[in-house]
Amino acid sequence: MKKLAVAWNATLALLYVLALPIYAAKWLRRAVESLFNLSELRKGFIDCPHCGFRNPLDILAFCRRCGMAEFGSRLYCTTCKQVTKAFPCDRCTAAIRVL
Amino acid sequence: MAGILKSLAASTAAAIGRSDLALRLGKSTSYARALRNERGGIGDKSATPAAIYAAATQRMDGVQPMTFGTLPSGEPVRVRRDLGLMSALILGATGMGKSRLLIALLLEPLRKVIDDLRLDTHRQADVGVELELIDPKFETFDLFRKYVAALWLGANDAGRELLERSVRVIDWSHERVTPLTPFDNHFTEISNAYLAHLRADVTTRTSPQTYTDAMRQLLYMFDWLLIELRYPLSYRFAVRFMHDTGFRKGVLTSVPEPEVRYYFENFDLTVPRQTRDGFLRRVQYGTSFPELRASYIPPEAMDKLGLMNEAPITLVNTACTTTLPQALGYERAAWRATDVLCAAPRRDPRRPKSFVLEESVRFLEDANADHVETLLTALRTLRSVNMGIVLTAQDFSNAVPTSVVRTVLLNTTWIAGFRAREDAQIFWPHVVGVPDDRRAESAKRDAYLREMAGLARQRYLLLVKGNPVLPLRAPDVPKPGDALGVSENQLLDVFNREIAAKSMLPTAIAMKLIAEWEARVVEQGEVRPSQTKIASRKPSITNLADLKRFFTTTEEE
Repeated sequence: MKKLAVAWNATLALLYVLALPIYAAKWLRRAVESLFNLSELRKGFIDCPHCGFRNPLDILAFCRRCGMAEFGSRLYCTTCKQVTKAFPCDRCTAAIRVL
Repeated sequence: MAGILKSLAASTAAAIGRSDLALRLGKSTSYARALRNERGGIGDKSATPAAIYAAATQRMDGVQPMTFGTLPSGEPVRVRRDLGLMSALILGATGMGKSRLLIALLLEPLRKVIDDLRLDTHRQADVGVELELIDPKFETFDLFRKYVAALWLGANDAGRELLERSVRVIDWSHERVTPLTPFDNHFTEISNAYLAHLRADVTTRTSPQTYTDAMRQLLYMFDWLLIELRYPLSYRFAVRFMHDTGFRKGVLTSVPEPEVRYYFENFDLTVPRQTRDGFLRRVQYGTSFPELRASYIPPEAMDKLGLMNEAPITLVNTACTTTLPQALGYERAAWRATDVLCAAPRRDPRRPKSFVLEESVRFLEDANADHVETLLTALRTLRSVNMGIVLTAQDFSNAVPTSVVRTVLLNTTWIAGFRAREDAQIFWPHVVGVPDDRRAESAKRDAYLREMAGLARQRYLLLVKGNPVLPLRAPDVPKPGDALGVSENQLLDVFNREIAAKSMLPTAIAMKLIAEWEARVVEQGEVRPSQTKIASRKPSITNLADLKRFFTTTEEE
């Protein structure tokens, strides 16, 4: 019984070691994507992939969750801390995914 | 250095997948950039404020302009009527000139019509603009009626006749009252049940007393019963109806609505005695003040009085602060407001209408109330029928729920701000800056807020959507009797005699009518068939055979 437990733990450890590069690659990809998104956010605008309209990210924004209206990023509500990942283009209303 | 650290922290947060932290760290940058983006639409940054104001003034001017005041340069600002009569918000501390601005704007079209009539007496007389003014603090109502009286005194016969048939007054005092029939369904598209719901909802939300679920249900059903029967609110009727089973059965025979009949037929089983007693106490409280009791005229008596029922201009005074409990005045203000707003979608859109609600904070403070929902829906939709809603308020941003503030700000076309610190935030993003002002954004903002907190009387900021904020001086409104050399008391006499008398009746007569109705219906138990029943029995005559049948049956009866 004891041998079985040791074998089980060893198999599990081996699986973790084998999966590590996959998880590391996944995390790295996400980190690169997030950093890229951040640089996009820093520019302050996003071009609509559908119609090419330049949508400002920082405007008089309304939170879809709590209804708060404030000057700031349209992706983040400072009142309810809601993060919005996508918003409709101001011209063609196509959904633009940012985060 | 702090900027670099913040940037690094944001990058790290983004790298570990915490976008919210990254966005939170960039909050101040986003705020500054949002303000810049908002102002980007105001105009060329290198242009002087005077040039920006001149361009905005030119954009707003147009057909039948209304004078909103003068710029610091002395240049008048005129806004075309279709824009000026759209929904608006007037903010500011008390005594700063909100009511005077309102009166200046509302009187201008009326004064023009009277002046035109003086030049050409044969022209078709029409006030041109409809107005509903609900004032829960008396001041604007009082000023407006004096100005109307002054207009009447200065008008020719045609002008006087026009004013007499165009102005209706809803007010109540010891001497005279405007009869009200809140339990008479004038609407063609609103069911009796929904009207009862609206009345009961207003009563429960405005009353200083608490209403339990059972009591609220009883109030709703009792209101529905009154509407079905076209009865006025009467304490004596309520007492006998609740306590005398035989009388109740007699009354219920003439109620066409089975839902109401069923509820009251099983009344003794379903409604506890304590609930009934509590309900009667509330009815007694609401009808114990003679001025208010006198206004509950039976609708059938009202039909015979021949008083003015509706008019293009309606002035409603619901101020009770010093003479009656405020809650009762507020209840009537909410009833009137819902009546006007519910009827509005079917109005004739050719003539613009302005619905003015003074001291709207008290009205808007309960976001869940039905009358608030009605008002907010009206703000969103009544543009299509050429009707604008004007709200005046103090401390609007703090005293009203956020969702309501947001809806009102989104749906008003222009906003005027007199001296106020908190509400000043609304205007800040649209304020025109001086091009060579090198101060930090926060310093400029603080200076602006200080300036707004100490703004002189009659000075205000006007924000018409799509334009920059204009610093204005409201038009001068001379005292109503000054031009004619008459005192305010004389003006009041003229108003009461020539205008208010058309829509009000002496309190003693009103009390007599109510006493007669109570003697007939409550004491003698006379129950008339309801209007609905009469309507259903009304014969339709389409051919000769129907006519023959009609005369035969009438003779038999």
